[in-house]
Amino acid sequence: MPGFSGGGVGGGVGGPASAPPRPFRPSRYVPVSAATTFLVGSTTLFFCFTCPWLSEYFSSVIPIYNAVIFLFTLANFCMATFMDPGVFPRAEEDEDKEDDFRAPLYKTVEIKGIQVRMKWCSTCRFYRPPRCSHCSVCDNCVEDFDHHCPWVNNCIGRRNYRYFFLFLLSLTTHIMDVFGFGLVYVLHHRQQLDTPHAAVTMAVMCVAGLFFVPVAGLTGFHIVLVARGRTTNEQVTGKFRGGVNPFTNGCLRNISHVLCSSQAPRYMGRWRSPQSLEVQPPFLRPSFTEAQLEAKVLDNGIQNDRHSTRSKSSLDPMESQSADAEPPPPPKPELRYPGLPHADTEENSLLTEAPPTPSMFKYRPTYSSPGRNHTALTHPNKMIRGESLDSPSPSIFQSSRQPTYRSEPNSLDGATVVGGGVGVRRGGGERGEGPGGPGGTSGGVSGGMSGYSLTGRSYTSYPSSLVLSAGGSRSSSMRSAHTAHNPLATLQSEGTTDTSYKSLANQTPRNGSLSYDSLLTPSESPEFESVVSPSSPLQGYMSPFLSAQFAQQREGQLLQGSATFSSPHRAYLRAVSPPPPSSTGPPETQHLLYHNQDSFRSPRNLSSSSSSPGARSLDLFCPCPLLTHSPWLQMPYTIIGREHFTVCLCYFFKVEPLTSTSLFSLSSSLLCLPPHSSPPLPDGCPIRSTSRPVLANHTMSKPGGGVKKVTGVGGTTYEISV
Amino acid sequence: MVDNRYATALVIGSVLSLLATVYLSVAMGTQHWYQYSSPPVRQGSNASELREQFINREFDEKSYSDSLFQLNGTLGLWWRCILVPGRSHWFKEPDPKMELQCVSFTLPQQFSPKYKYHGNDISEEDLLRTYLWRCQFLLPLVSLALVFLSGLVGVCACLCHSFTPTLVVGVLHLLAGLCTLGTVCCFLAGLDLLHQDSTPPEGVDGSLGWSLYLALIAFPLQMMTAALFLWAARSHRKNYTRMTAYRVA
Repeated sequence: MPGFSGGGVGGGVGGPASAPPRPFRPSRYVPVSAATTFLVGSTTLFFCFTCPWLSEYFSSVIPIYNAVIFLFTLANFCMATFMDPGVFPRAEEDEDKEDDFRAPLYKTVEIKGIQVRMKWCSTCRFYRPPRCSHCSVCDNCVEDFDHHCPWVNNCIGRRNYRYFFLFLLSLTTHIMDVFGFGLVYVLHHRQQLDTPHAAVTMAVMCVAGLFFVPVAGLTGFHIVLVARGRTTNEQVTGKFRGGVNPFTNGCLRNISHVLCSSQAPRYMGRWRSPQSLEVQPPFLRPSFTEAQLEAKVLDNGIQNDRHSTRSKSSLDPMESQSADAEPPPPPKPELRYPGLPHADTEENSLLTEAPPTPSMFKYRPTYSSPGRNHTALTHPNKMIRGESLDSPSPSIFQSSRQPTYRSEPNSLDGATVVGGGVGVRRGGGERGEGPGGPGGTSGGVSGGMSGYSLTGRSYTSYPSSLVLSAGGSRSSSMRSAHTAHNPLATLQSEGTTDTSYKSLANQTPRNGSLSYDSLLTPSESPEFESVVSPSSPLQGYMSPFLSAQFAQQREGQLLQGSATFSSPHRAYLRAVSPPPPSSTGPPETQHLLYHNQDSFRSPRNLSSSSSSPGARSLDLFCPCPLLTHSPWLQMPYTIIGREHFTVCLCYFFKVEPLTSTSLFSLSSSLLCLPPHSSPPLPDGCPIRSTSRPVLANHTMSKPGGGVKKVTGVGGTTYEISV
Repeated sequence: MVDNRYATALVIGSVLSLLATVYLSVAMGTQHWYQYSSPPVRQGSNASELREQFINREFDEKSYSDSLFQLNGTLGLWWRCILVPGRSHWFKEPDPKMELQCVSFTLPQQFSPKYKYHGNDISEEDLLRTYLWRCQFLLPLVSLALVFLSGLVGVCACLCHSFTPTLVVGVLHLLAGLCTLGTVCCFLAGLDLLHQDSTPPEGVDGSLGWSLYLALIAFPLQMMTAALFLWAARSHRKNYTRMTAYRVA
């Protein structure tokens, strides 16, 4: 009864456990029931009826020995029966539905250089690994499938093969022991075979004898398989009969692999592993996202830099426009300007074009808001911005512009002279930064923030242009050409002056005597207009001249050059008229040396030219005739040499502003002195040693220059008369 | 595959339970729990008298114990037997045929109290031996009843297609095994006390019989049955829980 009920329970329970319920088949459980009955029943009867006499007659060790063997056999039997043989879980139907249709039946895998076929299992929906086979009774694919054993009602696979093998070995040993000891008992009780002990013992011996033959045979078969490293399935199907078995590792290693290797993992009951896999993704994703975030941050940084550059370029006009409204912000981007041009030349070229326009805008607002105090402050600022040399220069520019246009046919000589002058002016500009700074600050304090901001911007623009002009000689010449174009545009922007200059430019190519006369007449007319205009228009008129000075370095240099030629021209003509024919044939190298000497002499020429037109400029610009005749001017002029004359001029003009500003200006002017003093030393030697070649150069250029300058002298005489 | 192994466990457990039940029933029904071997010399002197005393006289533990000691007696839970020669004819044969005569313990006799003996005087009642004797014949009945109940539960579980009762079956078999072990312990204890009070005469040896061994071997079989059923119930429950979780996931 219990057996039947147990079987029924198993069948009933099987249904709900697995997805496809199977009908309970009692026939499947008959072998295992028989095996259990004979094994346990025979052994227990042997212990009850035979062992008591054996323990009494021989020794009590015999029952203990038999008990140990029996327990070992029973343990292996249970392990082989109830252990998972190594079932592979089936693939989920949704995942492999497509693969099932298109998958080929066989797929070859190479193991130890031998091709082994893997067959597609339609039930489990995957390719069976090598040595894996599908058991139709269990309806599962088993790893290292050996056979399905009905006596244990379980598949014998990789995981439980060793227990099955040990079960066979121990069972064979147990049967031999029981049969042997039973035989001993029977032999000792031949005369008492009618007792129940003898009867039971003989029955047990019969059962043992019946089972010994098949069990021993099976044990021998499996011993051979283990030694050869094969499975029953491979042996029966003849899988590696023709070729080499790639799964064998030698007799001893095969045996140790079966008996002593570690337990193979279980695939079916591992629900935890997928759970752990599910848990990991949340932790893995943040790390990836962090990496992606880092990459994004880097990209954003790069993009931000580009945007910042664009914003800088776009903000430049905005800053200039908003200068009046928001003074404080401008200084920050201005600080960035000097760094950028050093990095890229193209940007430098762009910056060269950009700065002039804001400077123009800066000047126009001042003109638009002409307060008396502001005008007074701006006036000294402008003077401070312009060097002492440049301050008297407007009259010089006006007077010399005519000769400059006339001297255009000598473009080559003019260019060389301009190059030298450019170098000098560059130094002057840099020096000017010093006095400009404190002057600007003082102006800001007294006048207001707007003045400070304006002055700051203008100064920042100057060094950038100067630095750009500091390039190579060829590049400087090209840039000078560009600067020449700029002043033309600036001149055209203004009305009457524009028309006058345009007429001058147009008339220059005619090269006729009538043209010279016409040039003289329009030059006089703008001067009269400038003198007649009121004070505020004068300042407005001044601003373009100042901008023209900074933008038109070339013209300024040309003017100075012409002045120098004019003054020594007269003296040298009278003194050195005979030597010119001897120097008419000098080699080209000598010409280069002479040009260099001219460049060295240029600062002195400038100083000499400044001395002679200084008085004229004073006459023109001084509002008070009394000051011109004052003993202050006369005394320092006579006492101090040419170098000190500049100091006197600065002191004179700066008397009007506050004492603090005058002190600052004096200190800055003193700082400017050293560069003036340094040039004369190297120039002294070449002058003394090469006085004649210099004269020769001048004599060469004299005939054309003399003719033009004679007319110039006439022009100057007219100015003096006026 | 999973259900197949659990079903196999249940089948094997059922087989073992059946074997244990058979062994216990046989042990309880036979009288070979304890046996005495007497020297043949004394048989001739008092054989007929002891025989008449063993068979005819009223129930007295003292008297039948003496008979068992001197006439190769065997004692069981429900039977006591002696080995005596056959009926004597007018002439005596040199080798008389021995025959077994058994007397059963009636139910009232099973519950009769036991007394301590000092010589031939009747003394006070021995409660320990009394209760041990009662337990030793009741526990096997309880064990068999438990196994029968397990069978009923198993049949119901099979009809209802439910695996839960398997746990109950395992627990019942565990209790049955304990009862079987208790029976053997009580019998051995009681017999030892009996020999202390009324010592067998010299030359008489006693030994355990095969019935006692059968009862003793039934105990581990029932333990194994309980283990298999409990394992199947617990593992199946765990696996079922996992499969349910898997399906939900």
